[in-house]
Amino acid sequence: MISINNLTVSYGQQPILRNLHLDFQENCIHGIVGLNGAGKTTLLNTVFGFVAFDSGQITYHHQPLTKKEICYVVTDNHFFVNITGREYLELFKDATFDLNQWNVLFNLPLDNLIDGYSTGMKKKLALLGMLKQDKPIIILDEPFNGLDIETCRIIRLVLLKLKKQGKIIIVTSHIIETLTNLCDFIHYLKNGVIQESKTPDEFEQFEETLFEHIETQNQAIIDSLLE
Amino acid sequence: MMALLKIRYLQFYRGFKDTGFVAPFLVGFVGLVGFIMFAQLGNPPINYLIVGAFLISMLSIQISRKDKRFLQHISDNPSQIFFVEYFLLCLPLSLALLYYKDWWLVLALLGGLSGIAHIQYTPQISTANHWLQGLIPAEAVEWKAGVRKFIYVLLPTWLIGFFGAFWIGSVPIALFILGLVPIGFYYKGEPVEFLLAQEKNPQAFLFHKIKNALYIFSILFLPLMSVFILFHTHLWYISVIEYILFGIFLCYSILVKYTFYEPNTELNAASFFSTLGIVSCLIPFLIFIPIILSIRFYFKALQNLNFYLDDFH
Repeated sequence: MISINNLTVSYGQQPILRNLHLDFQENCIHGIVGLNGAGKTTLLNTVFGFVAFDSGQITYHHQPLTKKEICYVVTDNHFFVNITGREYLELFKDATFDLNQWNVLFNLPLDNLIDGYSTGMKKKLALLGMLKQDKPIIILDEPFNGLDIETCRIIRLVLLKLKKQGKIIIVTSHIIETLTNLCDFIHYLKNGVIQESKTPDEFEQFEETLFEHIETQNQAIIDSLLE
Repeated sequence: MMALLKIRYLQFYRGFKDTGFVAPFLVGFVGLVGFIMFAQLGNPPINYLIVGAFLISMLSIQISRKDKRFLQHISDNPSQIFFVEYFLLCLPLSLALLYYKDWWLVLALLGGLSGIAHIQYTPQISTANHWLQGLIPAEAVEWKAGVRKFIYVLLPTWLIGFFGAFWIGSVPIALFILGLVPIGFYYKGEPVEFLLAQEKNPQAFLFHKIKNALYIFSILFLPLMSVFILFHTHLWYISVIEYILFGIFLCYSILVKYTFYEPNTELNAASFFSTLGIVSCLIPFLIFIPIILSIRFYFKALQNLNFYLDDFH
């Protein structure tokens, strides 16, 4: 289990995460939702170790969490220019990984330069890299961005299978529906703190409340602008 | 047009600001080169060479720029925008030519810029997966990418060097080109996953990176050195000196790269210091500068890499 206790992160004088508490259990997929600027990416970057925290603790099995245990797929996938998809994947050492078999699912032109890949193809390549690394903790920031319906469904099936293998999976998404049919927990991040954590039987009500809140807050402005 | 030029100015200004502490050196370097060029502009044929070099630079910008389609969408006459941009870039040269009353060259420059501004050609990405790629270790991504990009320079140079070894200048010139080109492979910061994939601590990572680079570099150099020594035994030291010198430059470039490494960015400071190191070697008493700087940059690179690889100690 990953335990986050009293985590505070600031950029300069501006606090982004404030005394945040959160546990991520094994065999579970955890969704993190929040509006833009709520601190989702900062939370993921901090868990991965890319952002130093002001105070608090992040542990994995009661030991400090390290990058060795994590595979982190970021929102915007960058690669090196003038290399092919296959060359990128060769960076990750795993002799048992059957790349060609996995690529039946993703259908990527692995021997073409990544520079010519579409956004969705780059995302698929990053996800193949994640699968090849086979780490116990998987962090996916907006993994469904730019993917077609078929690949979204395939990714969902893969993540559900990985969950059963005992991995901790943390996913963020702007589209809440992609999380409600995938996650075991959804954590709502607002103003740098986890406001609430929901289980699948509470998802529907959570979704309705959230949408209602957003609509109520903005309806009057939209009405006045489009009158 | 004015709005676009304002955007270009702001982009240039921000880019200049991003160079940080390198900025004064950069200004000094550009000023020095500008001064030397101004002094030489009065001497034919150097003035022709300078104008030619400027036109080739503008041509290379026009061919490689990625905003051609965007400008076609927002303007009825994108060539006019290109021309004004290139004209502004060449304005100091035009003024200097006017100072020397070199009217024909000013006209040639403007004519050349006008022609370049109308070029719409953009080269297609080439996959170029040849057998050489398979011989390069998986972790040496810079070499995989660089060899793919410069294969049409590297391969003919190597072949001409090897099969023309009986001619005294063939191998030294080939070694010079083959030694210089790979230094440019290390001007871009790879994504951080590339670093993490190796699961090594900063020291081991740097050692591995340098070892791999020297290994490929040696495979490139040693056959050429052998044929050179075979044909010109009494001049063996020329190829050995080139091997040592470019080997040092290569290590220096790697150390500079990771001193200034940031994921997914063009490492302007790294390219500046690499160039500075190489240029300093052309002046005999400054030949030790890259070696001294390498020691300093080694510790700086370890410090910088520690942020990303601290968990692999």
